[in-house]
Amino acid sequence: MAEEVSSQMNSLSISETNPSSSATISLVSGDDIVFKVEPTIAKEMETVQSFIDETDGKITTIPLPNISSHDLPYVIEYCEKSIAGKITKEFEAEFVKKLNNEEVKELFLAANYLNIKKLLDFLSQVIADRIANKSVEYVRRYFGIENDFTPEEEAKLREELAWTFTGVDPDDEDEN
Amino acid sequence: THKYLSSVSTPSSLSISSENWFQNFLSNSRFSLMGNCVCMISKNKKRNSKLVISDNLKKQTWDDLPSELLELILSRLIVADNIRASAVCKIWHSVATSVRVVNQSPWLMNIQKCSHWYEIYDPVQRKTHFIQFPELKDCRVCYTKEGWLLLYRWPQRYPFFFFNPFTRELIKLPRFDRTRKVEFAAFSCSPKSTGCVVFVAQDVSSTVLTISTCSPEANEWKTANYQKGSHFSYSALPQIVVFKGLFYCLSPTGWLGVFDPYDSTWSILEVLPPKCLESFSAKTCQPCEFFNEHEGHIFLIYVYFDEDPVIFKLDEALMEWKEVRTLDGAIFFISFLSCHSKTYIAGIMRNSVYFPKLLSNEKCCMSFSLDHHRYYLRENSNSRDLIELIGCDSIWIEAPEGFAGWM
Repeated sequence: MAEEVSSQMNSLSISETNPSSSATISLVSGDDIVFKVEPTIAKEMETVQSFIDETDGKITTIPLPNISSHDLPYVIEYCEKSIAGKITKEFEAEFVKKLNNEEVKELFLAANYLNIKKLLDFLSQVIADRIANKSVEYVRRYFGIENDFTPEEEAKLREELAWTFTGVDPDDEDEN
Repeated sequence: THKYLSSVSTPSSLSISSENWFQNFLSNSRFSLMGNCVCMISKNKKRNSKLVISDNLKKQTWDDLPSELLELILSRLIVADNIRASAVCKIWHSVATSVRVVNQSPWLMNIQKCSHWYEIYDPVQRKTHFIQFPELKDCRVCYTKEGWLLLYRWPQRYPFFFFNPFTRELIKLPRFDRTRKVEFAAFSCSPKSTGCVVFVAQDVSSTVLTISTCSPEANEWKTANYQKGSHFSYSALPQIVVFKGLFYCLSPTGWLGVFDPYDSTWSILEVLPPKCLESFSAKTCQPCEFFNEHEGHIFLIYVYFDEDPVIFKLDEALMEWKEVRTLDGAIFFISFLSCHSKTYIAGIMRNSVYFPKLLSNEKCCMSFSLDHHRYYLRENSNSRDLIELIGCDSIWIEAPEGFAGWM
């Protein structure tokens, strides 16, 4: 068991022991998993690129404490596609199909944190699509938002805007 | 083994100083969400570290999502979704209302024949302005778009001109030699924007149409004769919609003639008039016919006050008129000389058709709601006098953004 961990760690931490591979960048997720990526990918992640630029490229291991090892591979996949110029409607549709609401939210925050404009735009559309035609209660649950209106305020809003509150999708649909 | 493990937990290349620097860097970065991120890399890895971190993430972020991020999402919602979003919580309310696209309602202008005083009715404020426009003396209004009127005054060597009643600007068009009766005219966009084309059609004979075009900057009109086409006959003036740069002219018999100003061609679309025209023709009184463009589609509206208006949308692929039962929330403002469509106007009933109405000599507007399947006359919902005709000397004009009234 110890051997396995050792070899895994060896491969993950190779940049520190082998100077010849300094061309790659190590992104360290919040739960301490190292992801080795091509330096070109940093160009898609403005936050990472600025970090590298500020340190004149001396630092190639970048901690990303707000991004988990579950989400980071998705971000990397999107950036790789983007660099290859292969972001198509089909790819995006496939990409988002794999993601549940929770993951979309986390990736959205990750895209913002890393300042990846394309991913941020894409995911804001995905979130908009997912809350389109949903009830107010559904949206509150989706985002975990507390209703801070007084009952009078809310009743007034609903009265003024009554036409928008009918005909929405049933709340139990797509609850995941 | 131990060495490797620890080197992964705290990568040796990341010195303490750079760690501090990185934290500073992150807290200065745009839309920083992190706030109190302290532990960059945990010294002791635990199985549940990911769980803890993602719990923290949720707590730190969605509770106080920066309004810039919320804006990104809410600005992509259509109006109905935007309005629902504004009821989620107070922050959402302020962001949703700030990004909500609200159209301005057109105003109804009553075209006078013998007085300089004009009545202009704002249907949102329900207020009538009485304004003097001596510039419009003895003029005929031909068309309106983007707040501008195309006017015609005869006999004069320069009979056509543009006038903006909101700014009182006046733009003259080149000398026009009228040899025949002017029939119908339109223009493609504001005369102040580039690419504005003015279109004037004159009837030569039962088979020939003379079409003249010019731009506000031009020195002269370009004129040519065209074969009208056997179906394109009219007892009343055709209505015109400018759509994708082309002038679509609708004859009262339901046929569409199209003038392309770029190729200078006139053709009749092979689209049969809607079937309802036949059932209407059995009645003693003809329906009022209107023609409108909305979000890349052409619409035909028949208003017959015994019944609900009948609305058709042109299916360009099948080249036929398809009846529609809803405008998907849009609002149509229809008048004989021009029609407008709007997506959302605060204070105006959605999914409705608004038209001018003459009521006991008093101008007002009336609407039909496709949601409620009924006519509304001003705020009182009494449906008396519905059979009276649509006011035919009124025209909807688009007030400029933020226009509050005349001094």
